Amino acid sequence: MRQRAIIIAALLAVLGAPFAARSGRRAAPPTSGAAETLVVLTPHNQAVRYEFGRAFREHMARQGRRVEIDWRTPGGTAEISRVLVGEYTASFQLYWTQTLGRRWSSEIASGFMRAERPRAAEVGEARQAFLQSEVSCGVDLLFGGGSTEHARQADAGRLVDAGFVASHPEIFGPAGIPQSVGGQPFWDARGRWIGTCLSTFGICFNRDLLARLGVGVPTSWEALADPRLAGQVALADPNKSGSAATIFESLVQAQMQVSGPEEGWARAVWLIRRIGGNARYWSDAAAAIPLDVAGADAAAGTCIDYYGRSQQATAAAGGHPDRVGYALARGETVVNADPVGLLRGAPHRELALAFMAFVLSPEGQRLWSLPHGAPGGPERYTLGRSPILPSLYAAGGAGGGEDPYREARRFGYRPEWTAPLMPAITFVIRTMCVDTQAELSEAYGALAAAGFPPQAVAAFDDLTLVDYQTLSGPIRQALRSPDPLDQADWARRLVRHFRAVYGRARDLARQGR
Amino acid sequence: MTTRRAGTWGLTAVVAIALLLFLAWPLAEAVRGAFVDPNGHWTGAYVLAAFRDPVYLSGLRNALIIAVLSALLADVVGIGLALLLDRYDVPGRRWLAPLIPLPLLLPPFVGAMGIRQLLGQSGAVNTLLEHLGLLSGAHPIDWLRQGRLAAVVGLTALHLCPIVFFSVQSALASVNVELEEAAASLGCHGVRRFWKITLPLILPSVFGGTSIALIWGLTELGVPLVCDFTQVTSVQIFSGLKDIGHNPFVYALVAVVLLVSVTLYGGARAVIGRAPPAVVNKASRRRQLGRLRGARAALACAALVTAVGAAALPNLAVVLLALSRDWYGTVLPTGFTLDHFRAAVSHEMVIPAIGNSLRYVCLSVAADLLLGTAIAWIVVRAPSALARAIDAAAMLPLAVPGLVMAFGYLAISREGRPFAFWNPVRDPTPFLVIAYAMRRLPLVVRSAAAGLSQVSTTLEEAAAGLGAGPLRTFRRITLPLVAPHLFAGAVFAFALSLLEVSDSLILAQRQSTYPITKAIYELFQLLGDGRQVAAALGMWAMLFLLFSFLFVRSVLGRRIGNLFRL
Repeated sequence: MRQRAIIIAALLAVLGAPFAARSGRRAAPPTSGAAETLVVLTPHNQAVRYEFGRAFREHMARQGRRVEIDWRTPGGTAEISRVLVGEYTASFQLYWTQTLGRRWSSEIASGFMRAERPRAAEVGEARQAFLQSEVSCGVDLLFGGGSTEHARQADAGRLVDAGFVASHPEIFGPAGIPQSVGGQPFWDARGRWIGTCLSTFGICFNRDLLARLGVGVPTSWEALADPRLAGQVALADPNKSGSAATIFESLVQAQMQVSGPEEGWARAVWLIRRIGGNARYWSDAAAAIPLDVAGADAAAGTCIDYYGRSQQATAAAGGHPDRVGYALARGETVVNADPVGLLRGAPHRELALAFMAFVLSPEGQRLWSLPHGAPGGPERYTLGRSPILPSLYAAGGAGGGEDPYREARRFGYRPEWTAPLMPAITFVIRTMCVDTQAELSEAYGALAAAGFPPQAVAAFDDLTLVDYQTLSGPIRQALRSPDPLDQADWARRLVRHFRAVYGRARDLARQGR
Repeated sequence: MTTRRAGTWGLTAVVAIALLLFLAWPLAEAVRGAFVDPNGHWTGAYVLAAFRDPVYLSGLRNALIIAVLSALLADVVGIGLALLLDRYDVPGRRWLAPLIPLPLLLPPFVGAMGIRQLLGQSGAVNTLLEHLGLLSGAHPIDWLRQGRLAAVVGLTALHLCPIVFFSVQSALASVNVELEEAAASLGCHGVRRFWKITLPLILPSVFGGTSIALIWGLTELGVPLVCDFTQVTSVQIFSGLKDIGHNPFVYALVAVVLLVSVTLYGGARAVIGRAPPAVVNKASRRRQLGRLRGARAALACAALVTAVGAAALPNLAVVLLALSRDWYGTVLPTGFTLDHFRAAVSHEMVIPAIGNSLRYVCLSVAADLLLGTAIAWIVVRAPSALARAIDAAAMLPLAVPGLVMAFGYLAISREGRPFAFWNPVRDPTPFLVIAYAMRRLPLVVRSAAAGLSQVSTTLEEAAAGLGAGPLRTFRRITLPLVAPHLFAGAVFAFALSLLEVSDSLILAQRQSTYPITKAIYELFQLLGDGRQVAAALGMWAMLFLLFSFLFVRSVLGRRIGNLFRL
């Protein structure tokens, strides 16, 4: 009995310990009983959610309003996109069948959120009905995820013009945020999304591992194709992570800028295959990459600027400034605006506009770049991001030492080359590298071991089924088909093809041919 | 119809409706999408396409490899340990035996976090080998890349080992010692006696434990996720979940997993059903433990230390990670701190997550106690074909992956569906409570049934004879007698629900509603010291579960294995 009493006491002590430790601290701000709630869907990490949630609450409290933000975080950008598609489809199906009394079909399901002119009249009617409706997913704002993703949501009709651009000439006028820089849009000309901060992309690396491998600091995408980095490059799956998709778009754009879309795509495939051949993994979560690099689980990895800088700062703060580094892929990275946009049928529209105004005010913008604890800066976390207001760069101190406006002018982005093809590009990367990682790594390793013999290299670089014409034609079409079996057929075909290609290249390399 | 009979029928109806609504229906919904196209027509094309897809086939093959190998490994270690401790007074037994359940007390993905710290390129193992002169620092072994599948199998097996151990230990406790002695007197010794006498007697428990291990291994999500092993069915389903309503192949994968799981479950039950009659296999007295001396004692002790040490390795690594100031390129951390615990406690996600988990789990255990006791009563006190069907249905969650269940709950709560008012995106409480309750129902049913079968019906008949109604008899006579069993089952259900991973990751989408496991998973991905803070929360959960387990053990003793019977 005594032993049992001791066990029960220990159990209660363990259970109560966190609550007891917490009770001595400042109580968390109340999360219930708020008069108004803003619902925000976001891939932003907890640090951004905390700082903007707190600052907006305090900002509104000064106006005599009690406000809470209900953050919805189903995952990264790709997951958010899929959730939005699912929710709007379910919501519009109800509206179409019950309110309008119309018949539902697979063509409508796959076509009512497509911007292109539909073939069937009924799909066109559904599209119009959707665009004129206030069909809702129960969420007010989409905050973060990159401009490419926001543009896609806007084209689908899920983001709507909040009237914010028209009503705030002081922010978007000649002295304010330019609509685009170097071809890269910083806000939507139709007002459906607005950039709130800017991101560049680069490579984080572990100096100890690089030294061991005898590899210099990688400062370009091509450096990640160095065969000495076999199994040491951490990558994120562009089908799951918005920032990873932008990184690969940067890579493809950079190649296209050298030799045009068609030849550029071939060069991009050449490079992506080699980087993929060095892949340690293709993570679902882009944030895992800097963590693994810092923990010497990978020598290098692609990442968004503030992930890299943040991990570098953490290592330095721990007394190890030489352990982790971050290098901007200078001249090879798009400068991506990270926007906020109003979702169709937003239940709290007025509050959503107040949040947009706050995020774009100097008060909100300083949260991105100031160190935590600085006057007017974040309270607990340094976000380390680059604000979008140009005036803050004129004043100096923003952007972590980099001026993204200068970088944007250096990189001439041509959206028409890649933006419409991104679903097809990420699909090809999936089948060419992610789903065939073992075969690709084996083949690339064999090529490197054999000194890249010509026949094997030619076999490895076979462009059949993924040349520019096939990419922009049949593959793109299959991804837009209402029948999911079309996409499945292509996936199966490509995976089998690449397995055969890599197997042939591996065998030829082993024969020294 | 007598009052008692009417009551039995009423209770049976309520139980059947609950199982139909919250078990059968979500399951049917989970697999419906695999067979219906967007126009509502039946089709087998999606399942066929899934079977023709080389990536999905690789995923399924890897899932089966993980399940079979991890179950085999768990069997070898679990049965070996159970036999060793059942037969011999191994030196150190008193201190080492209570550590055997350690792997069960940690969500596997938290254990995997510790293993990454040990097996990383600059991890503790490579550093130790380098210090010992067995490895060159310039060419460390990349354990996790070169042996990713092996790491997943090993970690899953470690987690499953205690289930097999307890199942077999419980069976060994009830083996009739006289049968083995009789065999020995006829010249049947050692391995032959084990093969001819002992194994057939404990075979139902071995099959039971193994099939649970197989199903668990088949649907394990956390370990492959953390080990970046993506080409496995559970991870493919997890990734495809956000496609709900649009990706029919995810439904098809769910259907395939369910089919394989139920086949394994059905097969195991069929084998158990052909086991020798229990009446022959009843221990009349306790076995005298053999004394080991010299080299044999040292060997047995080394085996025990190795098994328990390997089992405790992930836990130890998590504890060290939680306490480490820096752990990079060294065998042990270079400094210790409590900062990560402070960070965990002060993190705005953590305390609410503990509170949420306690709320979800308390409610689910209450539901389990009500439903589980009712089912056990029907099965033990009013046996019939329907009662047997209900019993089998109540055991079904053992065969159904948590992923599949969560998928089903999402499907019945989407906009326009009957349970849309319980949409987990708005508030996951109802379906998390139901999911936890259904997942742990078998534990409570088995525990309650074990208690009820030990309570003589004569006491209840006497109460009835003195004029007490069925409810009063149950409340005054039966309940006090089965209370220890119910309590033990409830504590176990509580502890395991607290660390339930699949349902928690999928059903809780808002930070304010996260349970502990989702909070650990989120912290794990935070930049900076996220992994250490996650380890700190994992260590708290581990301590909590350890004491819960010790409590259950103090109540049930060796009968703890009954909780894992099919």
